[in-house]
Amino acid sequence: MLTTATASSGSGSRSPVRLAVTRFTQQPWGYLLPAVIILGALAVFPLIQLARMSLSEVGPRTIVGPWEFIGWSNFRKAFGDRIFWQSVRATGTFTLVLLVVDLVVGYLGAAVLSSGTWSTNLALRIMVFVWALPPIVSGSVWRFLLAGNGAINSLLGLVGMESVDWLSSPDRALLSVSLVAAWASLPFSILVIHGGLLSLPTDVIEAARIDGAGFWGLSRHIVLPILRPTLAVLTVLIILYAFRSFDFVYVMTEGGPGTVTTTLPYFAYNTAFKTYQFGVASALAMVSMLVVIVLAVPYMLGLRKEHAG
Amino acid sequence: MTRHERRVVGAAAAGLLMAAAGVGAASAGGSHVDGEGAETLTVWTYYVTGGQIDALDAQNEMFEQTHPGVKIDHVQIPFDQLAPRLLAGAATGDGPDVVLDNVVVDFPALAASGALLDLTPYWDAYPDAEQFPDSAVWRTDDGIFNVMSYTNLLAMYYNADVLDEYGIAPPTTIEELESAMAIVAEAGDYTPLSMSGVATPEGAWMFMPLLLSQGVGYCNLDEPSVEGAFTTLQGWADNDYIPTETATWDQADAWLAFASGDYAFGFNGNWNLGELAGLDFTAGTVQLPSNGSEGSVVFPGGEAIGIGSFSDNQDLAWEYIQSGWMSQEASLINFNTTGQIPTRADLADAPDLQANELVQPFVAAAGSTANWPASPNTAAMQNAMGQAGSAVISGALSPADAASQVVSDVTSEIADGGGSC
Amino acid sequence: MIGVGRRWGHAAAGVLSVVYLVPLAWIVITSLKSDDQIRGAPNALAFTPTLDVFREVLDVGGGAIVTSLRLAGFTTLLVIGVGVPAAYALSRLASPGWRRLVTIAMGVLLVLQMVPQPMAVIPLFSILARWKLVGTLPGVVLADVSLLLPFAILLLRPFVLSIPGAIFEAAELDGTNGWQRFRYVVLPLSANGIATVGSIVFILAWGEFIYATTFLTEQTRLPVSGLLAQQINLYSVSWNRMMALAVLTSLPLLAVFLLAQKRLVQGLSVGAVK
Repeated sequence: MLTTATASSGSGSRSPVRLAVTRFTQQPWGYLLPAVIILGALAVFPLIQLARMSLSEVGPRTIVGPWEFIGWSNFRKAFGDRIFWQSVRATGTFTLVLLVVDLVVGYLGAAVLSSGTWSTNLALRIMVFVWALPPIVSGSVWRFLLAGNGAINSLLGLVGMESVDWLSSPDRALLSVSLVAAWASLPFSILVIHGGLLSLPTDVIEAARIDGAGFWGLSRHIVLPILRPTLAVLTVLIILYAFRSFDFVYVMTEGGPGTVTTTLPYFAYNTAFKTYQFGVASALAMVSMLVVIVLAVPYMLGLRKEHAG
Repeated sequence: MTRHERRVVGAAAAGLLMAAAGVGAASAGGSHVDGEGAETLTVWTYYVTGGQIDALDAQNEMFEQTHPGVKIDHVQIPFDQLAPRLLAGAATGDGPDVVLDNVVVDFPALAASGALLDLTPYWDAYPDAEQFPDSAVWRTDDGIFNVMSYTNLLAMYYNADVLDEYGIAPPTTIEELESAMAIVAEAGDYTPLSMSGVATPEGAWMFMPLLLSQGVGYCNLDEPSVEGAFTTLQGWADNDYIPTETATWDQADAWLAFASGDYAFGFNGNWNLGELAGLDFTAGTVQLPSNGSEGSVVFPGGEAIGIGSFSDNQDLAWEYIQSGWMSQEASLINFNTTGQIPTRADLADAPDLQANELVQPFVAAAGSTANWPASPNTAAMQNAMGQAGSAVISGALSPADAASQVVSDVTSEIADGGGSC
Repeated sequence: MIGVGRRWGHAAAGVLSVVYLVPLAWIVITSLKSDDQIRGAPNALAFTPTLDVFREVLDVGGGAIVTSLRLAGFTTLLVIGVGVPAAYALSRLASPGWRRLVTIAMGVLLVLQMVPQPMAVIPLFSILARWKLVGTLPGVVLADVSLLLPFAILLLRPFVLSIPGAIFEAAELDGTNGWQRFRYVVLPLSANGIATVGSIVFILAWGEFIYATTFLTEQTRLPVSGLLAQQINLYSVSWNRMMALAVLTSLPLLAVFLLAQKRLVQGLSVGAVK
């Protein structure tokens, strides 16, 4: 616990600044204050502007200058747009692919790469290095690899299979883009889980292994429960990422073919910066925000359980 | 953290806070006078490499020589950030002296935002003003905000070696093109056509000529005509005249494909003329094949020039635009370096333009252009058309469905934007 | 460590390395091609390499790397410096009131991250303009911090949470005050998490280009991310230059990661401290 009665016995200082600092470091809110100040100054205003724009007429001609309040019109326009519903479904698929790959392959990968051998360390380093490449680069690379005459199709040709339209077939484009995004975010997931694995209590694990527990048993009964907070936050972050990022869509297919790979964040970006309909785009962003909050409710409820004494 | 580390963090934080207290210098744009009394004009573009930058440098050099004491500072902004940057600056009184913007889609937003200066007084006093067609002068009810000294147009490149091999003459109508493509597709050694069909205004720009040939533009779309054009596109995709990937290719991708030598025809623009010398096959150019009674008609593209509203040197900026861009000399430097077509009427017959055979189709195209829609929602309309075309090429939508969708989308955008087009 | 045999380790390492090396190989190969080769055969594996592109890109790239290092460095320091205490505060419970506040705070952190970055640019621009920070490095640092701080706090929290309560109780009984507990218990025991999240924040700040290119316009001050974004425009894409820049500018990143990785791989075990 942070607040104790024996607080100042250790410091023995008398200057007012020192006293203020001591007070700050005693209470939890003292530790929160710098973050509150920074975010309050910088991050809250854009949020307020976003909300305001979603309720106002902000189009090509009215971006700068007074915005006319129009209530729910933008939301109604968004909900009435067939592309909106399509983009929600597309985002759902995108999110699902990301979650499955990043969590399942992520956990297995992190578990395996934690052995500490030279090969696993090298693999980890390679993966993080590739992850650090900006989406503009990695997305472009995959665009070439998945092109009609690209490396992947050439490989297929070697084994006698037909070329596939990875990025331009209406049936495959979304899956391809999702898998590339999952490939790109997997190292992050592995890194986070790996960090969690390093903090596991070795004595408990040793005891369980002496009792004969194997990898799957250990995982189910010991490791995954301990990693719950890490995995929970990772899930939320992945969902956040899926509803927020449009980099790979933008670089690889620009929302196409047609509107097949137009996910919600790409749709919002396009509406704002290609067609200059900021009001509607803000409404789309607010809706995305709402969806993420709703999806994060289990996480928020789970927060209560996390609080250790 | 060790004590040393904490000190480092503390120092860094303190430094940042001090800077944040207002000691920083903001000099992201605008002209200023430096020590020796020289004036600097800031010019923003999204030019990247090659001809456009070379031309800009040459024009700037010419201007600096004839205007001693003036320096031109070229700032390159990534393509996607140029318009947002201008808009953000409009709210805070920040911006360049001169900017070359993507006028075809960004004009309504930029003009209304207050980021660009009204050029009417300058333009009215400009002796050469009548040399420029209406399509080169971009106006709203509030004034003139952009002028174009050059335009970029679409035409058809062809691989002369391939055409010779099959004994095909460069087609002038869509029917001739389709017969030619059938021959090439049948033989199987080359892909007939490379074009851009991406789901954005870029893709729309490239297949709208199919409709423009019939006198149909954004402002008078009708479902039967649009469906007809989409059926043509779908036919090309089904017959493998164009690869399915066309649905996600932009202009640069389409050019890369044609330049590889594996394609017989390529729809693309005059900005690639400079690349022809480096190809390992002989290329020719011809106007886009006509699809109807109006002949070959294209939308004129390219960047337009404007003066930043917050420029401290507006008169000098206009002087720069006049001498460094709109003048005959500057226009010819630009043309000779990049192949971009001057908009001035008095240069249409200039020897420089006549000399190069490969440029002729583009010069002819410049004389047969359609007007962009004057609606504030022009970007949304073009976007919808691009999405529809891309859907048809990839098979996501049938021509009928795509046509009905896009016609209703565009009609509602026009109505939404105030009805004028 | 958790029952996975060495053979699985080697096998998985092999598969993952291949899946991640192939695109890397493509990048390197493309960066060694000339403009003509890109045009003629962008996917060809057999070609005569040239260092011309690297040479072209070296002087611009060098300056950009310095900018990126400063930008990412300061951002990371500030984010960690502010984020670790915040994560600590949000993971230790003082009272039921505080518990409710934590839930609200987490909600706020989530909501803040859902403001689309391109749309936050325009309001941020006016804030930074008011403080005369547009066109300066501190301006971009602050923008990046506002972007990455919520993310970092969310990510740091589990690491702080994993410190067993028993250690805190023991420290309390020893008569330490709040600050000492933070300094001598929290910081060392969440060092893994701090190093991990710090590396991630550094990498993200390195790659961020929307704020960087909007708030810094002078060519000479453009960071790596902006340079990369510049290689694409309406008319052409300079693939070889982009890939050469990508290679060149990722090397410092690799160096930073290797430094932090030593801590990550060896790691500290909670059990050992007990």
